[in-house]
Amino acid sequence: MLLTALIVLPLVGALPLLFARDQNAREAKGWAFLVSFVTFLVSLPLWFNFDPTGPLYQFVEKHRWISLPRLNMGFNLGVDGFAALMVLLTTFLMPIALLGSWNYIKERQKEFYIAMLVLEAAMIGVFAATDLFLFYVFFEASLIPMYLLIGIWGGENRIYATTKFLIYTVFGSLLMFVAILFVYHKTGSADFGITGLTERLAALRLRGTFSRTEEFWCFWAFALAFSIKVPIFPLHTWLPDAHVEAPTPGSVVLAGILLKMGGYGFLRFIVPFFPVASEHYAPLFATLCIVGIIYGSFMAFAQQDMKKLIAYSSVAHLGTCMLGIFSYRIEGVQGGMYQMLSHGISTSALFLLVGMLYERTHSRAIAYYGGIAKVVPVFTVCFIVVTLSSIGLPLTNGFVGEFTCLMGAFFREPWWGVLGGLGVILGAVYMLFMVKSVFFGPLVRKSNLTLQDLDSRELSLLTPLLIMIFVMGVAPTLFFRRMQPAAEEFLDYAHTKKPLRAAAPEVPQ
Amino acid sequence: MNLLPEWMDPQRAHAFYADALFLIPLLPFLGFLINALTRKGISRGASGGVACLAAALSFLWTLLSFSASAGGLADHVRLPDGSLCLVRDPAHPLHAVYGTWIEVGAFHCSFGLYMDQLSGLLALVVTGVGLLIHIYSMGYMGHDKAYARYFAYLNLFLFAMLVLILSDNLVLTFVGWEGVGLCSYLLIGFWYEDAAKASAGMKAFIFNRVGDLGFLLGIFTLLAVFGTVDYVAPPRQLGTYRAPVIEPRLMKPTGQGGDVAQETLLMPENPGLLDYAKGLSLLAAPKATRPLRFSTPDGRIDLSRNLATRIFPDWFTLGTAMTLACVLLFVGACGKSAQLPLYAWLPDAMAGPTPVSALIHAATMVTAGVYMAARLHPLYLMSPEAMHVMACVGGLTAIFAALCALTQTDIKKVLAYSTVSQLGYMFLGAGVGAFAFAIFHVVTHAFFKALLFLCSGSVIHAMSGEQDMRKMGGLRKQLPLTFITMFIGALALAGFPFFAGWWSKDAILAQVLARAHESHESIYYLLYVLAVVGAFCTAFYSFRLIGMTFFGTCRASAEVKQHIHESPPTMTTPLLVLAFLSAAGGVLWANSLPTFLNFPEPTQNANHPQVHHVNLVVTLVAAFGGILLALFLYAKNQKVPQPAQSKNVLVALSWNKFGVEAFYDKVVTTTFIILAEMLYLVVDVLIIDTLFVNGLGFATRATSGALRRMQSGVVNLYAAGILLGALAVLFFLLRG
Repeated sequence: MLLTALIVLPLVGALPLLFARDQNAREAKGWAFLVSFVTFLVSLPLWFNFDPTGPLYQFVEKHRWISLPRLNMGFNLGVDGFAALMVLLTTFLMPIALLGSWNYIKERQKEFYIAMLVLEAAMIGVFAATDLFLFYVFFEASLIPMYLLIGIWGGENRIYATTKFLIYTVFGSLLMFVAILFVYHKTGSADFGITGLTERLAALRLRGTFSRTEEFWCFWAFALAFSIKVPIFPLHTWLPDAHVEAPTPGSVVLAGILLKMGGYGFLRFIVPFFPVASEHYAPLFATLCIVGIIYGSFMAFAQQDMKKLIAYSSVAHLGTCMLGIFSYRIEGVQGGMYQMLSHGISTSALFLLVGMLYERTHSRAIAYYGGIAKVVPVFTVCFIVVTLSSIGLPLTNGFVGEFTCLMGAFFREPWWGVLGGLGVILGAVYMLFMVKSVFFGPLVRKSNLTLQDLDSRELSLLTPLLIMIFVMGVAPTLFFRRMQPAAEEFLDYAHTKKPLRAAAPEVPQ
Repeated sequence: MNLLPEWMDPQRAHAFYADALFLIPLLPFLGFLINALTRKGISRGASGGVACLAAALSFLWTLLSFSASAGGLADHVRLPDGSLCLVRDPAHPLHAVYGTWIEVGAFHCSFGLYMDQLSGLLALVVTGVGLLIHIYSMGYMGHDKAYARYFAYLNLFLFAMLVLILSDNLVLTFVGWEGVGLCSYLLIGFWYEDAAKASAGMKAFIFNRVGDLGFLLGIFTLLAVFGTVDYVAPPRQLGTYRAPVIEPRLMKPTGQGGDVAQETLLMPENPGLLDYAKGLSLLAAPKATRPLRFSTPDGRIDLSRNLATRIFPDWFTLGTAMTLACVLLFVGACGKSAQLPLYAWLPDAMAGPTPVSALIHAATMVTAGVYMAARLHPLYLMSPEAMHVMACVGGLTAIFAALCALTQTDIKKVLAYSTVSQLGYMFLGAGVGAFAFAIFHVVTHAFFKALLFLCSGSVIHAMSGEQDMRKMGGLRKQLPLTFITMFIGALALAGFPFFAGWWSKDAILAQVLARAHESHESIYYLLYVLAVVGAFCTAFYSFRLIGMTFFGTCRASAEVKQHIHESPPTMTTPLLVLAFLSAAGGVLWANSLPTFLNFPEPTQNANHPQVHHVNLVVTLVAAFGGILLALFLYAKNQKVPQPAQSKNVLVALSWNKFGVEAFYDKVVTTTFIILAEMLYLVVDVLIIDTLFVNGLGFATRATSGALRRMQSGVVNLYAAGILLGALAVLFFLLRG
C-alpha cells in the first residue's frame, strides 16, 4: 500500500487547503511543506526496503479500477529499481521546491500549493503505475497543474509560454493515446498491464501478426510524445520559454522531474514495445541527441538570461542521457538513468539559485550582475559547486552520468562517443562564461552592493542538494546496484532476447 | 633508502604502509576542509599553519611510505610446471584498494592507490616542493585579505595532484587530472575582481577540457581493447600480508638465464593495462600485425572477447588501437602540459599569485602529462607512431616557446614560455623512448623552475608588484639573496655544467641524437638541431632575465625604489633550499635513474660514446654562447628592449607568439560567439519557432478564420448548403 499512500498523501494534504478561506493563508505554505515532507519520509522505504536482488517489480499493488467487458484498466502500481529512484527523486525535490517558493509566491498562495501537491501526486503516479492506461492518466494529469503554475504564477510572457507548453505536449500525447488504444486492441483487449502488453506484442511479432508497418507507426506515435517531453532536438523550443516564465518551484519540478518522464517513456514503453523499430531508428535518435548536445550547448552560450541558459543546458544534458540509452549497452543505459537522477539534482539546484538571485533583484539577465562574488560569498560558493557538478567534474554526480553515457555511446559506435563528448568541452564553456560574468570581475552595479547573502532557509534547502551532489559522485554504486536489474530487463527487451514468460494469448482475428 | 626501524618486520611494515597510503592525499584534504569551513573563523597564522602542517605531514608520510616501498622482498611463486620458485622483487610497490567507485556492466573502477618508484618519486617532489611553496606563501600572501581561501585552494591542489599521481587506475588519475585543473582555475582567478584574471582562469579550464576529452576517449579505447582501466592487477590477499604482484618481467626461475620464453610468462589474475603491455612485449611473435583479438595459445593473455573488434574497423590491429589510444591520451597531455597547439592558456595563467605559478604552473601540475606518458610507457612503447607524434610535438613546442620567451618583457611571462619549452623537452625525451630522463627532467625542472618563479615573486614583492623587467635593473645589491639564488636557478635552466638542469637536459638531447644516429631518420636530426637551438635560446633568455633584473642601474620610479627590500625569511628559506637542489639535485641520479625507476633502457643504448661526446660539446657551446651573449647585451650594455615597437620581423614574430594566441583570442572566440548567436536567431527563433511552431498555430487560426466565414448566419446559404449536400449524397448512392 506504500505507493498508493504516496499518491494519496499529497492529494489528501491538498484538501484542507481547498477549504481554507483566506486566499493568502499564511499557514498554507507551512502545511504544504509539511505534507510534502511527510510524503518524503513515507517514501523512504523505497530506498531502505528495496531489495536489488529481489524481483524486478517491488511494492506491487493491484486494485480493480475500471472493469468492463472489453475495457480492463487496473489501478496497478509497482516499482523497479529505477522507478523507485525516480519516485524518491520526486519526493526528495518536492519539499525543497516548496521551501524555495517561500517568499517568491505572494498571490493566490493556497491555489499555488494545491497545484504543487496535485502535481506531486501525479508525478509519483507516473513512475509508480504498471498499467499503461493508469500511466497515461497520470501523465496527462501532471500537465494541468503545470499549465496553471506557469500560466498564473509565471512571468510577463506566461500565457504564450504555458499555451506553447500545453499544445506541444498534448499534441504528442494525443497521438500516443491513439497508439495505446491500437496496441490494446491488437493484443486482444485483455488488460493494460505493461509487462503483459510487452509480452503479448512480442508474441504477436513472433507469429508475424504484428507487422513492421504497424510497429513503425505505433513507434512514431509514442516516440513523438516522449521526444517532446525529453526534449529531443528539434522539439525543444517549448522548454526555454516554459522555464523562463515558470516560477522557480515550477522550473525545479519541470527540469527535475517532468522532463525525466520522456526518458522514462523510452525506457519503459517505446523500446520494450517496439524493439524492431527502436533498433531501426536508434542511429537516427542518437544523431538527434548528438545534435541536441552540440546545438543545445551553442544555444545556451548565446543566451542573455540565466534561466534560459540553464534550460538550454538541459537540452544538452538530456541529449547525453538519451545518447547513453540509445547505445543499448548496459553502461550507457545505466548511465542514462544515472544522468536523469543527477540532472534532476544539479539543474534543480541551479534553478533554485537563480531564483534566489531573482527574488533579490528581479533580474535574470547575466549582464545585470558582474562581480557579485565579493558581496555574496556563500551564494557564490554554492553556485560554483553546482556549476562544477553540472559540467561533470569528477567526484560530483555529473561526472558519473556523463562518463558512463559516453562510454556506452563509444562502445556502440566510437563516433557517437567522440561527438557526444564535445558536450564535455562546450558545457564548460557556457557555464564558466556565466559564472565569470555574474560573479567575477569588478562590481558592475552599485545597487548590487547591498545584496543579501543566503539566509538560513535558503542554505538549508540547498544543503541536501549539495550533499547529494557529492554522495552521487563518490558512491554511485549505491544507485547503480538498484538500477541494474531494470537496465538488464530493458536490454533484454531491446535485443528481443527476453524469453516469453506467459503463453501467447489468443488474438481475435 | 630504508628508513624503517630495525624491529619492524618488513612484510608487515609493507602491508601497513600500503594500507595507510590514503593518508598522503587525505592530509592535505583535511587541511583544505579546515580552511574552507572555518573561513574567517581562525587567525591568519593558524590558517597558514594548518595548511603548512598538512603539507609537511603529507611529505613525511610520503617519505616513510616511499622508503617502505623501496625495500626488497622475496616471494614464492608457483610456476606453470608446479614448482615453486623464489622471485626477488628489487623494489615492490605499495598497493591498496579501498573500495569500488563505479561499477557498471563489465566496467569496474576502484578507489585504489599505488606507489611504485615512479609515483613515489613524484609524490615526494610534489609534497616536498609543495611544502616549500606553502611556507613561502605565508610570507608572499601575508598582506592578502583572502588568506584562508588561498591556503584552502593550495591544499586542495595538493590533494588532487596526489590523487593523480598515486591512483592505481586511469579513471582515478582522471579525477586528479580534472581536480588539479579546477584548482588551477580557482587559483589563476584568485583575484577574481580583476576581470582579466578571471578570464585567464576560464581560458585555462576550457583549454584543459579540450585535452580532457582526448583523455576520456583514450580511456574508452583502452577499455575497449583490454577491458580494464587498472594499471596493474589488484593486490593479492594472503592473510594480512598483501603479496606483491609480480611483474611478468621477473617471472624467470632463479638461476636460469636468457630470454623469457613464452612458457614462463606468468600473468597475474585480472591483469591491468601495464601487465598486458609488459606481457605482450615479452612475447616473441611479430608485434606489428597482432590482431585486435590477440590471445596466446595457452590463454594467459586473452583479448579474444574484447569489444574493440566490434566497434573498430576491420583493418585495426592491436598496434593501431594502441596508437589511437596513446595519441588520444597525448591530446590530454597536450592540454594539461601546455603543448602545441593547446599551450595558449599557460602564459595567461601567470595572472595567478606567483607561488601558484611556481607550484602549479611550473613544478607539478603541468608535468602531469609527462607523468601520464611515463606511467603508461609500456603502452606507448607498443606504438612507434604515437612516440613519433610525441617527439615531434615536444620538439616543436620546445623551440617554439623558447623563441617566444626571447622577447618577453614581463618577468613571469619569460618563465611561463620557458616552462612550456622545458615541457616540450620532456615530451621530446619521452618520444624517443627516454622516459626515465623525461621524468628526471620533471624532477630537476621542478626544483629550478619553482626556484626561478619564487625568486621572481621575491623580486615582484620588492618592486611593489611591478613585473616589467624594463622597469627593474641593478637589484643585485638590494636583493642579494634573491640574486644569488635566482642566478643559480638560471644556471640550472640554461644547462650550465653540473647544475641540475644540465644533467637531465643533456641526457635527453643525447638520446635524441642517439636516436637520429641509429635510425638515420632525418626527422630526428631535425629535432635534435631544433632542440639545440632551443637550448641556446634557453640560455639566452635566462640570462637576459638576470641581466635586465639584477644588473645595471635601477629603472624604477623613485617611489618604488624607496620600498625595495629583501624578502622575509619565510620567503628566502625556501629559496635557499631550492637553490641547493637546483645546484646539486642532478648529481644524485645522473645515471642511475632508469634502473631506479625500473624503466627499460631506451632502445638506442648509451653505447655510442661519440654521440655523447658530440652532444656534450654541442650543448656546452649552446649554453655558454647563450649565457655570454645575453650577459654582454643586457648586463654589460644595458639594452632596454622595446619589442612592441620593433621593426625587426623576427622580434615581432616572437613578441606576437607567431600569431597563435591572437588566433585563439580573436578568430576562434569570435567565430564561436557569432556561430552561437546566428544558430540561435536563425535555427531556433526563425526556423523552428516562427516557421514551424508559431507557423502551425497561425495556419490553424487562418484556416479556422476562413472556415468561420461559412457560419455567416444567412439562412439562404445554409439551405443551399443542405441542398448541395443532399445532392452529393444522392449522387454517390445512385452511383453505388
